[in-house]
Amino acid sequence: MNNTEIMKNVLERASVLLAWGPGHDALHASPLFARKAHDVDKVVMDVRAVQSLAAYLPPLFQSEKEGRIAVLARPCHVRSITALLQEELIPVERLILVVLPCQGKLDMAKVMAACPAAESLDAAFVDGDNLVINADGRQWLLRLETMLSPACVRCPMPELPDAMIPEGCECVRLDGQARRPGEGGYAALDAFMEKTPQERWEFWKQEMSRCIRCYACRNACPMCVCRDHCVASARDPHWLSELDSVTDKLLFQVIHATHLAGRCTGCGECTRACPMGIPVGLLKMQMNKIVEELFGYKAGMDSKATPPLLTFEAIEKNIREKGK
Amino acid sequence: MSYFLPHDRLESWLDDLERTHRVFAPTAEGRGVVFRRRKPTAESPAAPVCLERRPTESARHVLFPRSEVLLAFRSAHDESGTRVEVFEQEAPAPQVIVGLRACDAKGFAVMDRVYMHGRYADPLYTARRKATVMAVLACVPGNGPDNACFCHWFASGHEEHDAADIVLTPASGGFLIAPVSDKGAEFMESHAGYLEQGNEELENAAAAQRLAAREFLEKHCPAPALSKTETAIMRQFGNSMLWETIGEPCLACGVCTHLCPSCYCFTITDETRGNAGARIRSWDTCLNAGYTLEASGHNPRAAKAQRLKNRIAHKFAYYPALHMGKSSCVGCGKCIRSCPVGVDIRAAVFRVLAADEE
Ligand code: SF4
Ligand code: SF4
Repeated sequence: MNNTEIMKNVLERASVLLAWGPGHDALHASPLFARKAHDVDKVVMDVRAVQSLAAYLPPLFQSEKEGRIAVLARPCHVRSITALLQEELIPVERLILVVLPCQGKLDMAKVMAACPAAESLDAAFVDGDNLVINADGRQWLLRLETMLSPACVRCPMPELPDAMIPEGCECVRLDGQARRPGEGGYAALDAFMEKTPQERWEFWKQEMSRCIRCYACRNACPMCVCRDHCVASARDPHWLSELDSVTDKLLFQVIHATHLAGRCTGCGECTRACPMGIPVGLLKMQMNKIVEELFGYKAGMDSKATPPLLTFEAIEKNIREKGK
Repeated sequence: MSYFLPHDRLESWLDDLERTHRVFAPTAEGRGVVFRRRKPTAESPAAPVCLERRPTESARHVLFPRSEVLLAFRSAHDESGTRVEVFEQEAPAPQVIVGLRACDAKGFAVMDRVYMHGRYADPLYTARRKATVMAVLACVPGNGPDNACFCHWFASGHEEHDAADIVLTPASGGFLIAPVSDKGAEFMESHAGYLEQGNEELENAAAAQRLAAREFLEKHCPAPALSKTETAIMRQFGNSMLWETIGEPCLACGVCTHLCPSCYCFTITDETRGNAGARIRSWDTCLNAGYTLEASGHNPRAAKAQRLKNRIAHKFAYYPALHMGKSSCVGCGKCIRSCPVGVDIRAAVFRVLAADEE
């Protein structure tokens, strides 16, 4: 069976297959809710398929219309799904994971910087190690490895290890070659943390002054499950001022980051979704690093584990209590 | 009468405008291009203007701030007793927006119909609008239409200039500048110091560039029969399956409405602290659950599909019904470019038309 047949076969057992289909031009893909076999023919799952589909799962599972739900996932998306399973926000028995060997996902800003003409391109496709763009009567070849998102540059496992398939979850693997693992670690964060606190504060003030409060960072986040009940939009109590103030915007980011401590899987969706190019993911990355140092825990790796902030130890190994 | 502004004098010309006007212009920040007040001072020059790329956001907030204090109040005590002091906004200073695109300026034409006319004219918007000169940058190939643009769908194509006062067209190492309104002509007379005279050759070159941009648009994204959309949308209004399919990928964030040059919804909030407080008007978005949440707790648009339907129907049906068939979408493509999940309002319109034809 080729990949299309595999997906059609999966769809026979599910009411919907969450995938990606064509976007507004040949460089972009957009989430596709495949319900009929012929929808599967439209699936795009190469480097252009950038969105995490995990964010759709919790609300979709609440719909009475749906039977089993199948979802196309890169290994990083599987981590988000595992985290949702750990918190019992989605039911494992109704889920079918369709995992792709990951080639990485494009960082559109990198592509646009390397090839400004791409915004009015006629054609774009992947050919071996290159992204090919035809625009303006010319052809550009961009090396894929240099066009990938920051999350991919870090990604330690473009090929999902068997041990990471959530327990009790039906999982189907698609054929293909995964890219080689990325560098892991927190290099980008460490470089940022070299700045003095004053410099970092100035950085965030400047960046957040561009924030338009669209909350795409929140709504694209697979772990932001409060949806229509977020503190940011609450009128009563009215937590955040309606004034266009940088501190209130930053306060929301701090709330978001703390709410994600020990839950964020580092998928990079918040930064990707921000229309103003604000690297809000850095704040969460710092939280992740702290959680890793304190609890030796990385979110979404093990469906049996309990996230450290959802439980407690009488004596925490790495936290020194006052006076001890 | 036209003028020519060589590239190397652009910044000085903009600085010179500050003599009489507050200047708002696009600057590159991070990955985006945003409209900022220039405010050059002796110690720090203004951030360089960015006219080479389309702005990420619209210039709407210059006339209709994201958040503004409508009035502030404070209760004060002294020997004579307690008084309530109320502060209102001051009259706006003259200002000019340089480098917005034709579609952004059209957005103001859309807002004018709502906020400057009739019983509900908005005094704050009206005052700012009257105090503002719009210097539009014409789109030309290489610095203009991309795959998300569709301004030619509307009578408001990129060459039409309602709401614009001045048009700058990139040509021969600079900009051809032509006033297109009385306000624009008057403005140019007092700000021609750094400029050379335009000439026919330049004017022809500029016109040819604008035409080429139009041809690109027409070729890559043919317009639907827009006259049919209003009735099609209203006829399909109750077709919930259709709207659910269209809205399925939507995340119900507010990227589209916040970047849009013609969305004009707001909410009012009273915020108090101790003895002082403010009545604040801030942008609202119809994608937000709170937008239609009623005091009883009932929400007539609880599902995101219903909210996205409102956005599309407002632009392509309710607004045209009230304003002589004019759509309130201007085809700038900002929502399409920046939607994190690639919701394409053009595709939505085509889908509704197709469903209506079945
Ligand atoms: S996505 Fe960006 S602009 Fe929108 S609220 Fe988040 S940080 Fe602000
Ligand atoms: S259409 Fe896109 S930008 Fe608009 S609310 Fe939906 S997800 Fe957000």
